[in-house]
Amino acid sequence: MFKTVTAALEGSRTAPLVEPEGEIILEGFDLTGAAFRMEVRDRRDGGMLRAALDTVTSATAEGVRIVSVETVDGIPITTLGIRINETTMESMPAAPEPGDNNEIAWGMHITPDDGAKFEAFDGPFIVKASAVE
Amino acid sequence: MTIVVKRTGTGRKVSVGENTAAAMRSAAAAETSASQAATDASHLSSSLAIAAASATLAADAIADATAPIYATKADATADLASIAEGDFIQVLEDEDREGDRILYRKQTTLVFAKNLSLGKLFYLEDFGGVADGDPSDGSGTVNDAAFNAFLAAWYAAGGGTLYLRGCYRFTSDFTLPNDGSTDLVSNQPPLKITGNGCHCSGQGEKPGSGSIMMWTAGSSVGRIKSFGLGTLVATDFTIYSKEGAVEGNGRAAFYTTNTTFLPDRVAFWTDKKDGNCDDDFWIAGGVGVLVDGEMVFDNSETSPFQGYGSLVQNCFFNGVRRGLFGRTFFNANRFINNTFWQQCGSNLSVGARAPIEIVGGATSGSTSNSIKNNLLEIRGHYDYGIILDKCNWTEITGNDTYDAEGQFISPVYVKDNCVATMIWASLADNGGVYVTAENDDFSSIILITAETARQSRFPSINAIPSSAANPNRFGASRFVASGTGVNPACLTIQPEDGPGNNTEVFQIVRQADASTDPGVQIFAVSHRGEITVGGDRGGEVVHTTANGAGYDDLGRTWYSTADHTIQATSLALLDTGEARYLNFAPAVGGSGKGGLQFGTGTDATLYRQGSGVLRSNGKLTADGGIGVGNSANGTTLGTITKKMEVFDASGTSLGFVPIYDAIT
Repeated sequence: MFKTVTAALEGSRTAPLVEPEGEIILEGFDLTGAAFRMEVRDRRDGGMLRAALDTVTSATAEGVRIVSVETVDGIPITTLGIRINETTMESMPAAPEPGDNNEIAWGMHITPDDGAKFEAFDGPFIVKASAVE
Repeated sequence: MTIVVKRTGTGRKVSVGENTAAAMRSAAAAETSASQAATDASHLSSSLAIAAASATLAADAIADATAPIYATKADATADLASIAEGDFIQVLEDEDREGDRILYRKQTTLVFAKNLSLGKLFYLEDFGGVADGDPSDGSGTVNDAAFNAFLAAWYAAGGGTLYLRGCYRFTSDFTLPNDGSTDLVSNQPPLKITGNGCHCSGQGEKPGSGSIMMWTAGSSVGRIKSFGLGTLVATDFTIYSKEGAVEGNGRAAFYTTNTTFLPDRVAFWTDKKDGNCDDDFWIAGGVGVLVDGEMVFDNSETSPFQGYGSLVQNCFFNGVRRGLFGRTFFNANRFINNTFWQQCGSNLSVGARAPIEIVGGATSGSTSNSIKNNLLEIRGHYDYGIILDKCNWTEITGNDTYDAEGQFISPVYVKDNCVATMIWASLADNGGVYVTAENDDFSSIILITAETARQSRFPSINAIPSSAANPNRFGASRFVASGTGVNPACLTIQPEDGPGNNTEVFQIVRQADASTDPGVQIFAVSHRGEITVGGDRGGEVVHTTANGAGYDDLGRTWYSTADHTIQATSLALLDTGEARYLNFAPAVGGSGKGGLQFGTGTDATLYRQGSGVLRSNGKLTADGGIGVGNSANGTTLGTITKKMEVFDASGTSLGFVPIYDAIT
């Protein structure tokens, strides 16, 4: 489908990660029927699994869902929504320094309805420090 | 944040941006026309227009890892045709901004967008580094060139932070660049090396996770050397030596002279253990070189320490010889809350082995350092926990020294060239000595233990070596009673259970250089209360007046071993309702063998002649007469056989009284 995209995701340690922070817009792609698998780990290649998200259809369920597939000016646009529950965010590893953000890693596999699975995303996952709990 | 992936033509990714939709809308509202911004934000298909109007914002929003990287701007220009209009690229070595990493945007030509180095966060991966080291076998990509490239970029950027993502293998040692100034010492920008966390293990498992700088070879005195004035901060990573389990290649993890060193949560591990350990964590300062009597400060390893204010805390060591080896001018630093785990030890000679050692310089001691709250697991492969040599005003507080094998000598060894060492000892878990003073000189040491603080009791303080010639000693101290509590006495001495009746509880020994009886015990009290006095005037008790102005003859009583006399104005056996006797011990009498002597020599004596016989060598007079208890009736005189002379009260003869052989 497309080469692996390196992009960062950010989420507060004390709140669920949802849209718009957890939003991915793919212009030119119609991913209707695709399956998704997203993971957050301490590091690549075997780091401790901190969040495991599969395909969901409800905005209130933890996972990855297709928010919409629309066509604008003849171009298909798929919007994905990511939801990581607050309890999952709270269990993310602590930052090296109190008050600092902590950078770990995330990635996502996409298996199109009519194609082979590919690694769509890979990048830093920033657990943002918060003044509230 | 919203991630936008766009496809044009045949599906080639034309841009990958990371930005929040809100930020993009905000940028559009602020920097483009309202209508254009609304269109761009709602469709997200014309982000080029937004970015064109808000290049700075877009540049800020693009992660440094997302834009293609070119070595130089010339390389990128040569490849201009393959860069989509509006896309960003990165240049590592910009000819206009040497050492900086620059983000450019293609707007027909490459237009400067942002200096990414301003954040001064570096990754070895940006310099060709690969975090594929395997701590289990020491394999992995060698990152020596990448680290040197990073150091050059760091220096050019005026400082920054290196973030270690994983395990990096190195085979050479590194020296931080500085300005090479010859004006006393050089200067360098601040450096922070940090990572995902260091490795600690109470079970001794070797490093395997977190961020690791792994050395498999090297040849200098230190793996990371820093000689310039500046700060070196190290946090949350492990230094792991995979250079073998046998001593011979040891060197410091950090060797600094003029740099203020601030490690926190750093672990240092080697594959060595016990007596094979020859790697130090931090060598602070060189030996110092004098030229024409002046100390030389320069950019070399011998330059004395000038990194005042250094602080080593919360670090973990295993397989390490010394965590701290401070040298000339090692002043005003803190070494606190660090842990030396069980496989630490020293390959140095017996008597010189300690995990913490400070040796002041030849011309000046190391002053005002604090060593606090460290755990020293030493298992018999050290002699001491801390060695101080030529140190002044050192504070040693709350360090736990645990020796499971009970072989080490004491937690602290203070050489006699030290001044004012303050020690609060919390634990000496070898069953005995808290501190050792060279040549038994405790005069400059103040020792307070948890027990003394709690009970006003001093534990045993042994001079090393302890022998008859060098008895245990304790420097002059002053005790002040609280006047309350279980025992309000100023000083209570109560030994532990075990000593026999004749063992001394308390003793005083005369000074070693006294003109007479040097080093001899002059006072002692045994467990059963026996008081022993000695010395050339032993036993002499002198009463003084209450204000201590001088002695009063009327109150003077003393016993002299010289002539075995008690001198007193009067001796009284007070009648308290019980019998009081003066008992003269000799069973067989005779002059000088027990009795009372009056006057000088033997002019008037009274003593025991034999059983039931009291005798005087002179005359015995009685003003009131002489009485006997064996008188009997008699009427008939026998024959005179002897005469007995009698005297008046002055001893003048009155004549003779006849003695008859019988009277019936």
